[in-house]
Amino acid sequence: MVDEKLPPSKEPAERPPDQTTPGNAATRFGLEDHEATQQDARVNTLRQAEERRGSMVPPDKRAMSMKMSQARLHTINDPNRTGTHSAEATTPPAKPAVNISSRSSLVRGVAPDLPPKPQRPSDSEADLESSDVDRPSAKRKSEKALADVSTSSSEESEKRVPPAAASAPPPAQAEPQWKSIDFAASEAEPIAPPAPRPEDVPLPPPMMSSLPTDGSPDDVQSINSKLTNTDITFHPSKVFASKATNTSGMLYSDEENEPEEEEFPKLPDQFSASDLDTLFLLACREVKKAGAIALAENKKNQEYTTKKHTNDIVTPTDNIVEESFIKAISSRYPNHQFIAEERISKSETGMVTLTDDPTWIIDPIDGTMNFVHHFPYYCISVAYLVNQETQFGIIYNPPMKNMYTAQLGKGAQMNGEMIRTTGQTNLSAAMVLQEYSSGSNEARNQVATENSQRLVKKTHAMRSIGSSAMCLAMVASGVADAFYNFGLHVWDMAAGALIVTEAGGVVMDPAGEELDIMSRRCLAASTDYLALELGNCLQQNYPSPRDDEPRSVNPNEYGPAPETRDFTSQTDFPDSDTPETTDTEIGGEKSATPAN
Amino acid sequence: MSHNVDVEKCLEVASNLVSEAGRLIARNNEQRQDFVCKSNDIDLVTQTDKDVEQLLMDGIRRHFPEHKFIGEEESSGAEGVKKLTDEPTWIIDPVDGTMNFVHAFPHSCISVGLKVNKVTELGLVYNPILEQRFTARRGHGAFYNGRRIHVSGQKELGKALVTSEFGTTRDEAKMKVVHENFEKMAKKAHGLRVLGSAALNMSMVALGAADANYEFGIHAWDVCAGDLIVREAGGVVIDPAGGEFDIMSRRVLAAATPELAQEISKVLTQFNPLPRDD
Repeated sequence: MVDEKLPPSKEPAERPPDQTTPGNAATRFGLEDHEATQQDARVNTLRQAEERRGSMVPPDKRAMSMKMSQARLHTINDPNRTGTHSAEATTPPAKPAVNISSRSSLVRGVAPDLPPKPQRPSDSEADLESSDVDRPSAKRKSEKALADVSTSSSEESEKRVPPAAASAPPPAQAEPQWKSIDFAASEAEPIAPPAPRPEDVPLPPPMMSSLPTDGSPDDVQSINSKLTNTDITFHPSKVFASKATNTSGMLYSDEENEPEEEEFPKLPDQFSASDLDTLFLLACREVKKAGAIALAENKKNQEYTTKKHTNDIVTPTDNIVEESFIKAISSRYPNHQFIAEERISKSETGMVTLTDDPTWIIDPIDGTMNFVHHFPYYCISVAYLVNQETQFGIIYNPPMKNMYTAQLGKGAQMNGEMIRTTGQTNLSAAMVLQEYSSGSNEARNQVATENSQRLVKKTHAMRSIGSSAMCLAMVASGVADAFYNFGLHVWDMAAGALIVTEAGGVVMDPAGEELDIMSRRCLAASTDYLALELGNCLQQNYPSPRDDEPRSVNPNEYGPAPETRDFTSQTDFPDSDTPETTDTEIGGEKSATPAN
Repeated sequence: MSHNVDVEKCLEVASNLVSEAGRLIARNNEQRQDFVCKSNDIDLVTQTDKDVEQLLMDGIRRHFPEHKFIGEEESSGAEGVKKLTDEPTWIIDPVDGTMNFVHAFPHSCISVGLKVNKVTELGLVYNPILEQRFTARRGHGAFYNGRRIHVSGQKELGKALVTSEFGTTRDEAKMKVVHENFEKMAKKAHGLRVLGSAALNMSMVALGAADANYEFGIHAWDVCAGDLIVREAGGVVIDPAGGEFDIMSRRVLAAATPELAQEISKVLTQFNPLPRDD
């Protein structure tokens, strides 16, 4: 409680006098936000606030229209940028298609830098994509709010660069400035809508007549910018500087836009669950949305609760992502079943029951520890099973913007490109992934340590990244050769197991038998031979209870009682929020390049 | 004799060269490299490793003919590691995380540091696969893709994400210490990650995505740039035993705060790699 009070008293003292008003607003907003992340009830409040914010988007566009009108008279940079956004938002569908094609060619051309202008069309694309969704208006508004958050974040990133580059202020001073900007930007949203309403009436005719003109200059500027970027490519001295101003926002926008075009065509309002191809596309779209939620939430400090022990943690985002995905699917298919990490965790028995019914197996955030530390290896894992056979699997890593997918019998892909395992057969030449301290179970930790000591001598290399689902995805895509783990759960491996096998790899029980997804044991490798060789080297551990057994089978699986830790009270995270944003935007775009 | 250097120009030249080298690495990453062993270790050297170092050194010589070099590939030649003098000296690892590179595991980077009068003035770490670029100039802060970065501020080991490595040598005495420390960290830290590149591990500490990094058996070129980047991001870099960092000792402990560094120092079993880099 004391910690919560201290920040407000410090911030005013550090803030320059001319920022007093924004500071006060920021303080109020900051406190509200902090409280909202601490309790479930507050999370709901936060969600409602986001929905309210979403409902204000349409009036905001009118505000932008007015600003655009003013910009033509006064030629001011910031209003002009806003005006351009508005113009693009109202452009007819035909023009976005042209822009999409143009941007796709840019991305494929591997130009290191992209022009600022196309960022606006991507916003209109996000709006169009939202309109395709057949769901209550509240959800539509919520999605627009998320899109708005992304835009706002991108703009804030651009604003932050000049001060840092110009004066390189000490960290202590930089922090309050960033906070102030964040809060002021967010606070500004509710204020903007009411003002321009009366003035909208006389403006429509001039705006309509100006649209074609605006479209043409944008295209010309886009072409010029493309040429400029090409020119910059041949002058490496400018690459770094250009990236500082353009890279993060632009790459983020383009990466987000292209998959939508290729992977998410407009879906019919109603279709049968037996239409697996369409159901798969729906799932991919919902996973992408869930990823956007996780990414946005990761920019805030996260309190987490330990479910069973200090290393098995759940954040509010786990619950938000899980419930939003389940709601999206169950609203269309009320009879479908869900096996989801957080729901199972909260249930009385903790027992998983898998029937022949259509069933979704979901891990809303795999690698939660990475998530709360802003370590960029966390992901959303979703598998769909019918008659207990996996039909498709999806693993999405939002910071890297890598989406690994597989449909039964149709191979595996990463961001739309086919992936294959390495084909490695020799353990001594293999890179093997494993995890440490997967829980507070002493026997299992000891086994992990002993296996690590033995394997480091027999393998080419050992790596540890903190997410079982991501490890499976890496074996599938061929950047690692094998993975094993004891103590993981069915939701950690259901999607990844199919992706590995569809990529030509093998998934089995670590003792060499057929995989039993309820056993909490898993070994994956690029080939049969490598899997068996690795399995032969392992000291075995048999986690109890199995996922399909109740907790009462082994009350001693986890030692101490669950506890709640306020991760933010003793850690100074605000400064790391911004770099992490950059990391997620940059890393995602370029990590897709090798697949091309 | 004191040497004066235009560090701003050095940064510009190094950035250009590193971008060019990054494109070379990214192209070669698409194809797996055949690798050969050297010095009976499983440290790897590929043609890319040599090509990148040559590209960087030739480029720097064109602008600064009198500057000296300490590089991984150069140091593996007949002369061994060169002495560090007061001369402006570039300390270069052309491909840090060579094992990752060979496997296409996306954590390889170029590490370039510049020391003048034995003081690190400039640090640059670039992962071309993920387009991660970390830069720092002494007294001017640390940046990630052009944006100012800061360490996490974590003070407790129990809440810290720690990174480390197995290292490349398979010497029994060292491996015993490595395993002992891994076991201790697995129990005491919030999480333990092994990504395969010392320079990137340190950069993650500077970024605030990890809270600490320690390793025995590294070389000067692995940590010279990362050391400055962590310190300019507000973190600390010390000797794993708790004393002052000695870049030639082949030991390093980087952390978000002094408190965290000292806590980890007390937990670690010590190991002194021989020979020293000097």
